Amino acid sequence: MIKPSSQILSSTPFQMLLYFHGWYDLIFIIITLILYIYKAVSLPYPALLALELCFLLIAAPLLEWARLYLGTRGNLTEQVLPLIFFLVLCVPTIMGHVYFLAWQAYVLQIEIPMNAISLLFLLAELIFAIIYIIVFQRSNL
Amino acid sequence: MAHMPTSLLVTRFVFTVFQLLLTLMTYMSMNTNILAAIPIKYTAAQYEAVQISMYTAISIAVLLLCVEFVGMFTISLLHPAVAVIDIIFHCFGSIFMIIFIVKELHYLFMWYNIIYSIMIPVLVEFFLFMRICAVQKREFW
Repeated sequence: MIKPSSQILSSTPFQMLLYFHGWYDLIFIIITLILYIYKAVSLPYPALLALELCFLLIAAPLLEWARLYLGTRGNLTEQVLPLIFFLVLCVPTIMGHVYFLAWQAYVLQIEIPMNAISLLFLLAELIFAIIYIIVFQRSNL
Repeated sequence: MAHMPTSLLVTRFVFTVFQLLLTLMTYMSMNTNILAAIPIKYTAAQYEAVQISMYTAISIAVLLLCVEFVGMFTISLLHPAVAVIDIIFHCFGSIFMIIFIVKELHYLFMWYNIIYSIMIPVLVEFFLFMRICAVQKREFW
């Protein structure tokens, strides 16, 4: 469904946020994995550690990749539906970062600024996504 | 306009974010660096004087890094020379801050670190900004 248009509505700041958030998430996941290995070795844990590790290793990268892919598609093709799914997927990501910040068993010092920067990225992406859903919907009518 | 490989852009962002993370982590583990500077039987006045200096240093570092981010995304995104300068200085700055935190160095080293690892990239951005304002020489926008 290609419609000819005289004006490009895709947003460069939104695209930059998504692109750099992807690379930031890569170093975030690497550092968090290393920290989990350190915590498993040197801190006393109940039996739920395996559940945390499975979630981190499998679900978090997949969730992030899907979210960023949907956001990129929605922004570059100026469609509303991928951006709505992007907003839906932002919610578990925010909850995951709040879990790493506050509800974890042991929170190390470096995890606080790491998750804070991720949450800042997420907040900015949320705001841009809502604005651009409105912009794209108005131009599609 | 010289060709800009994507890897330079990504590396520059990653190192700058890493230095921001380490600065915030220094803020959280400030105590040991203050204790390295005052005598063992210290008074509250001595502790507070050094603490104020440390707060100022970290605030200036975070502020300059935010200016660096704003400049990175708006002014010098596609300059390969600025990217290389940033990568070198922020890499050395990050390594030095890791040593600063782990080895519990004297707090004055934080000031020296700001001067050589954050000031120089910010001065480069500032120079580019002045060039845009004065001579209207814009490369890509």
